[in-house]
This record gives sequence, C-alpha cells and structure tokens, in this order.
Amino acid sequence: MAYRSINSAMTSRNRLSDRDMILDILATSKSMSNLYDHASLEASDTMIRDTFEDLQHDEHRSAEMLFNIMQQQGWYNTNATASSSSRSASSHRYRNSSSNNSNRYNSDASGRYSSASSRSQFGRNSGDTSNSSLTGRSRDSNYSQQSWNV
Amino acid sequence: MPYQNDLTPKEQSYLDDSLQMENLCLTKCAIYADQCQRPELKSLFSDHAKLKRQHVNELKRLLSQSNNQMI
Repeated sequence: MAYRSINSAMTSRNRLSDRDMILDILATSKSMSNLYDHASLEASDTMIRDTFEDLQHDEHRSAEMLFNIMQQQGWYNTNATASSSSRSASSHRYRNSSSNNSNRYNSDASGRYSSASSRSQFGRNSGDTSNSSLTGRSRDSNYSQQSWNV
Repeated sequence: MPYQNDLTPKEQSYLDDSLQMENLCLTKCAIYADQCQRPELKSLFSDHAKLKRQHVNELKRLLSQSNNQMI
C-alpha cells in the first residue's frame, strides 16, 4: 500500500486517528467507485445504469472533497521529505505520538523515498535528480500528488 | 415510477453488493463521527453519512421494485 509510509503518527495503540478515519472513508469511496463502474457497465436496464452512474458520480465528488480536506490538513506528506528539523517540529502536532512512533514512521518513509542523511549530505540545492523534485517551493504539494496517485 | 423489467442476475448481485457496501460505509461514518476529535470532521462524517443514507435508500428502492415485480 502506498499509504503506509505516510500513515499517521497520531495513531495510538487501539484507536484510529482522525486522519485514519478520513483515509478509510476515502479508500471506501474509491473502491465503491470501482464497484459502480463495473455495475454500470454490466447493467442492461437504462434506469439501473443511470442510477449506478449517479452513485459513482457522488463517490467521485466525495473522494475529491476528502482529498482536499486531507491536503488542507497537511495529512499527506510533509514529514517523509521534510528536513529533520521541521520533521521534529511538526511531530509536536501529533499529541499521542511517542518518539518511538515517529522514528518508526520516519525510517519507513526514508527507506521508500530519499533518506534524511542523504538529503543533508546533498543539501537543499542538490542537483541530484532523485531529490530535485522533492526540494524547492512546491516540494510538499508534489509529494502529495505523487503519494496520492500511486 | 413504473419499472417494467425484472433485474438481471448481474444487476441483482451488483445492487446487493452495493447496498452492503453503502451500509458498511454508513456505519463507519456514524462511528467515526462519534469518535473523531476535530469538530469539523464530525460534521463532515455526519454529512457523508447522510449521503450514504440516500444511496442506501436509492438502492433499496431499486431492489424492492424488482421484488414487487416478481411477486
């Protein structure tokens, strides 16, 4: 799952974080859009097909809305590619996160993307192509789109 | 709203599946609206639950029409 590397540090032991909940509903919307897509293709009756298409359209709208909300909250991203200083700063937002937790998620993310150590070696203006898309002004939004479209 | 034709088996099973999924999503939305911590998300989830309720009703309507047809 592409989502795992950016999973919420807010998740505590036996409880879903707000972010997990939205992510779950969003995943549900996507899978139901799939279901309605097949259903409308297979329907032989026009009214049934129109209904399925309407329902699918609703799912698309819902998914878009949930996506926008997650992006506004900054629940997409940032920690995995941010510098270590901003990473530790933003981890304070997560009330329930222990240092163990955030370390675990960060190391997971750094394995998947470029590691924090290599970034600090190359610096922010590195010409290294694997980092270039992750640095600069639109780094966070780029990362959001990438992680979402996987 | 007259409905002339019986459902095909595929339509029937897709409607059944969809109804199940919508009901599951409705339940989850209700639970999440209860459990989430940010108030703005509570209203988001309950709004989404309302939409899911509409979907459930719509699917039930289609299923019941075909059931009535068969009787």
